[in-house]
Amino acid sequence: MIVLIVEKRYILLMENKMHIICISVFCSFFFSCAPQLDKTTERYVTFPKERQLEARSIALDTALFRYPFRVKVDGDKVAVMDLHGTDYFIHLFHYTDFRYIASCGRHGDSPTEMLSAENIRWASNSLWTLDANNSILTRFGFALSGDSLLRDETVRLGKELLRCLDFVLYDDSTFIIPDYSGENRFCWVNRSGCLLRKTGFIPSSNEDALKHARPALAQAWRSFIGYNPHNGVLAAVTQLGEVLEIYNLKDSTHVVCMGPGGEPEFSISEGYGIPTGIMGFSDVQVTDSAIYAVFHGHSFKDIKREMQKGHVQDGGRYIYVFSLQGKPLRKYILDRYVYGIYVDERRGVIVATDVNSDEPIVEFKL
Amino acid sequence: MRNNMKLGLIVTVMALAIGGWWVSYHHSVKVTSLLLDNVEALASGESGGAICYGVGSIDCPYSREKVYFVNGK
Repeated sequence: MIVLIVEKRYILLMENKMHIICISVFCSFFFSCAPQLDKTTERYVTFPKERQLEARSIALDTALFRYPFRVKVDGDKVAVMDLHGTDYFIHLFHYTDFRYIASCGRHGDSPTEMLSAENIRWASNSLWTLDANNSILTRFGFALSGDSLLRDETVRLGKELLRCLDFVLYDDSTFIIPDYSGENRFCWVNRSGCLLRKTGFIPSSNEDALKHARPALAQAWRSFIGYNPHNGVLAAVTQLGEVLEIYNLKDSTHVVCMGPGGEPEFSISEGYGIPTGIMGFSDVQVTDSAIYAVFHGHSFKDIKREMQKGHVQDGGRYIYVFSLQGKPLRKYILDRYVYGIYVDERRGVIVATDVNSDEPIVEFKL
Repeated sequence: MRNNMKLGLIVTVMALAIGGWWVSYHHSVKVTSLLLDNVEALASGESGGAICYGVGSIDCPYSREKVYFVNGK
C-alpha cells in the first residue's frame, strides 16, 4: 500500500516537472521569437574634429515666415515649414535659388485647412505634413502645371495615438510616429491611420518616472526623428537633454548616445512633464553615411534670465555629426542660431532655418 | 391683459439683452499689435502648475501651443 502511494506521488511529481519543462521551453521559444533590440549605451563628451562655419544668407523674393522650423529638399524643389504660419504653414521654392513657387497647408479650422504643422516629408514627388492638433496626416501632390500643390490625400490618425508630434514614412504604406503615451518609443501606423504595433522603450534610468509617471516622462522625452530607407537607420533626438538614439531597422540594433547634457530633466505638475535642465536637439537628418543633429545646449535657467532681460535667441549654434553606429565624428560651430537643417552632401552644404532673423534661410559650406 | 403685460416685459428684457450683446460685440477696442503680442507672449497657456511663454517649439502641455518657455511654479 505504502509502495503504491509513493509510486503515485512520484508519477505526479514527474508530470508536474514535465509541465514546468514544457512551459519553460514554450516561454524561451516565445521570447526568442519576439522582436528584441540589442541595446548599447555610449557616452560622448567631445568630438574628434571641430570646425567653425559661416552662414551665407539666401535672398528671398518674399518675406513669408514667422517661425521657419523645417526645410526639406527634393530634387529641384525645397519646402520650408513655418511652425507659426499665419496664413500658410508650408512654402515651396525652387532649389537652389529659392525662387518662390507656391504655398500650401492653409491655416484655419475648416475641414480642408490645418490647425498646426509639426513636420514635412517628401515622398514620391509628394509632400506629407502632420497636423497634430487635428491628428491628420495630409499629402500634397503637384498640379499638372507643376507650380502649385493640391491636397491629394488625408490620413486621420486613430484615437489610440496620443498627440503625434513627428513622423517618418517607413515605406509606401507605413508611418513611424513617436509614442507620446510613455508605454513604448514608436507607433507603427498604416495608411488608413490605424495603429499596427508599438515598439521600443524610453531608455531612461528614472525608475520612479518609469513606474509612476510615464506620460510626463514621454513628454520630457519628446523627440524629433529622421529615417533613411537606404540604410534602414531611424534616429531620434530629444528636445530636452542630450540623447541621440539610433535604431537600425535592418540589423535590429539600438544604440543610445548620451552627451554631457544627459537625460531630459523635468518636474511633474498636475501629471504633466515641465521642462527643467537644458534645451537639447531641434532637428536630425540621417544621410547615407552619417547622422546630423542641431544642438542648442542652453539651460532653462539661462533662457529665463535672458528672457527677463528681453534677450531672446532661439535655436542652436552647433551641428553634431555622428556615424551611423553612433560614434561622434565632427562638431560644427555656427555663427548663427539655427533650427531646422537639410544636409546636401552632393553640393557640400547645409541649408538651415533661422527663426531670429529677417533673412530666415541660410547656407553653410562644409 | 396681465398675460400681455408679462409677454411685453419678457420681449423688452430679451431685446435689451440682445442689444447689449450686439453693442459689446461690435464695439472695437483699439489694441496695438504689440500689446496683443505681449499678451500672447505672457500667457499662451496657463494653469495652476505652469505658465507657457512666448513663441517657440516646446509643446505647451496645457494649451497645445508651441511656446518658447514653460515656467513651473
